[in-house]
Amino acid sequence: MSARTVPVRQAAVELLSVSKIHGRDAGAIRALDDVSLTFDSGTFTAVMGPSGSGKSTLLHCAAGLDKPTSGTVRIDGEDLSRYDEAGLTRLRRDRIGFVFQTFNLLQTLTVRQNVTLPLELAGRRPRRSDVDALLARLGIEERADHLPGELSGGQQQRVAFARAVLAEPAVIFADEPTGALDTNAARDVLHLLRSAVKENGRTIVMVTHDPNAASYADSVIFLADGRIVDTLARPSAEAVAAHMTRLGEGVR
Amino acid sequence: MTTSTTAIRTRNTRPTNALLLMALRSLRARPATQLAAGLVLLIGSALLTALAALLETGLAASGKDRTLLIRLPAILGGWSLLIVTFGVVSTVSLVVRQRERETALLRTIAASPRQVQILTLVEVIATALPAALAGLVPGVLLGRLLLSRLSAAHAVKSVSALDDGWLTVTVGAGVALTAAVAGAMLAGRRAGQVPPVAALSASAGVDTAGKALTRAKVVTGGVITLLGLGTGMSTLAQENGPLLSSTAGPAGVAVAVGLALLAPAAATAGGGGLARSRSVVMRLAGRTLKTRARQQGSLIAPLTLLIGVGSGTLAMQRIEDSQPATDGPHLATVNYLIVLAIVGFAVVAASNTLVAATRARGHDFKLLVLTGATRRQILAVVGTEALITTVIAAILGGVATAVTVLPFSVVRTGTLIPAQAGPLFVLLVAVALAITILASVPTAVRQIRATATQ
Ligand SMILES: Nc1ncnc2c1ncn2[C@@H]1O[C@H](COP(=O)(O)OP(=O)(O)OP(=O)(O)O)[C@@H](O)[C@H]1O
Ligand SMILES: [Mg+2]
Repeated sequence: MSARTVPVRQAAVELLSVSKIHGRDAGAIRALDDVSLTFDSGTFTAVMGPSGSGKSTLLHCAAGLDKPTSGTVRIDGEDLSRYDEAGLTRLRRDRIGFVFQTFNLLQTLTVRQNVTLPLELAGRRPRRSDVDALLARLGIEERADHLPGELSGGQQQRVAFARAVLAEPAVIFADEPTGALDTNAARDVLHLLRSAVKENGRTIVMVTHDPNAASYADSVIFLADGRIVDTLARPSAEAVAAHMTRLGEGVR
Repeated sequence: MTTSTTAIRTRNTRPTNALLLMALRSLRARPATQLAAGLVLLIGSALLTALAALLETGLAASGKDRTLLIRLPAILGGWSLLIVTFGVVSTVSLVVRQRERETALLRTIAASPRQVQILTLVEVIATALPAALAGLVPGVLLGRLLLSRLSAAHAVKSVSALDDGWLTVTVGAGVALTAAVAGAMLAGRRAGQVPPVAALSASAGVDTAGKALTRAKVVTGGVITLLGLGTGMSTLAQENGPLLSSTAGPAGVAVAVGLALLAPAAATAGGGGLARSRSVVMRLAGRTLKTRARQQGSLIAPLTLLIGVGSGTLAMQRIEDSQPATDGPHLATVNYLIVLAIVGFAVVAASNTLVAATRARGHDFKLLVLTGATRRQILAVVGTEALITTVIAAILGGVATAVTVLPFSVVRTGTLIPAQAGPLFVLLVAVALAITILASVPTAVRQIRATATQ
């Protein structure tokens, strides 16, 4: 599967009128308010918005980690509401990869074991040489037998990325993947994400607060109060920052 | 750096292999926790082994020896069973719960609820099996000691050697192991239901989610408490004789276990009361108690058991010792050993919970420092929490003690409140307070110090 063989854009993830209400009664918060959108296959989308605007909630619902209160989520055309927990687990294993800000890796397993875990739990053992080749491309082959605690934040994030791409998922979700990294490490990870999309036709949805990180994406979606308020194609860091400033004023 | 790649080649494997690897790794990574849990199991297994060996010896004997050697373990066995089961199940669930975040991460990336259950089971058995087997050795030694005490007191005449065969092994190690497996299945089911998003929320680790008390716990706790109260009342109807402790002892144990199960409710109530206090330290402590009622419950529970069963059993034994010419002395060693086992369990379980809970709050402490709380204030809050926890456990444990001691004393000596009970109760409350303070304050000091150097 590569970008060249997919001339017609297909929807990797679709959300149809998705709403999510956290809590109930007096404490209820409408974190997503009737959101409809499509992430096309082979695209890199950034999701931005003020803190509390519902970015993480959007990601969790889109990835089947959390159930929307109403609306439909489809991954690769499959309606998530038709799956039970075990089914969702299988779907996550086969079609979805995750990279999060922190707490990404199991601290008791080595880098290699972390990377192959999802596949092994699915009953498939990847060839060692393939895994090593992937780690080598990410520049962490020498750390393959180390524990995550012995790696830098940027290296850990690359391990998480290796784990996410190994099963060749339909879509990779990343929630502030560079949030805990310094500028250089962040740049490496962002290059990695972008080349996965450009060269391998992967689909990536990334939540971020950083206009510079968002500028690596093909397009940016802006959320405020649980609604999509704006989108920006081929974003530059300056344009994104300007948008964010306006959003901040609009909210106040 | 590019990721261009040909497809990853895989061959089929059994997911169990990955689960086994993970289980072994995580056991190795937490030696202290495993050791603590193993110790609880070992003590339990030893206690039951000793009693089973006496029973097996009794079954092989004849005449009066047979009657005594069957009756004695039958009386003590019931409540030892209850304590060991409770101790093992709650320790196992504690160990599993401490890894909630890791479980959630597993669920996010790959593992089905079933796989999480299997993982839990494998991990528990890996610790429980060696511990339960290891308990056989001290158990048999303990059985021999008990038998020699009985012979020395001329209660047992013709039996000289302990008959420790299959029954002993099966009951001793088997019961402890079964309790551990049952605990693992319960805890594993819960762990499988941990929502994956729990791995991702910023404040995870300070787990406030989940109900403080499940309906099953309320019902079980309520029923066991009522059974205990009923048994306690029935002591009053007994005639003054050697069998008196056979209802008084279990009554207190049942009440202690029942109330221990209901402990989260007590934490909520106590915390709610304090949250209205004038002192800021009291208010902070009260709020923590209330929002973390579930964890506080698993802390109050072993302390309740310690105070309730400990002071109840010891007071009963002291009264017995002070009485002329009864069967008492035969049971003395056993009773003291049971108390020792309970103290061991309570120390291990309570400090395990507390150290982990205090450590998980490092982030909170840091925030408190940043928002202007002094070091002294934080330590005062932690100390106050320890004090309140102990007070709640003392109240619950006090009820259990009363259920054991009061009816027993009325029938045996004719007085309602025996002189022996007060000091013993105070002593055990002091032990409980020492455990809570020693397990929490030094940990908090270390946390704050780590914050200061960052
Ligand atoms: N489990 C929950 N229970 C109750 N409310 C929640 C829960 N999770 C999120 N919320 C609320 O839903 C809203 C959206 O939260 P969300 O985490 O999606 O925001 P976000 O855009 O990711 O913010 P940030 O940039 O700060 O990470 C917030 O108001 C938040 O308080
Ligand atoms: Mg977020």
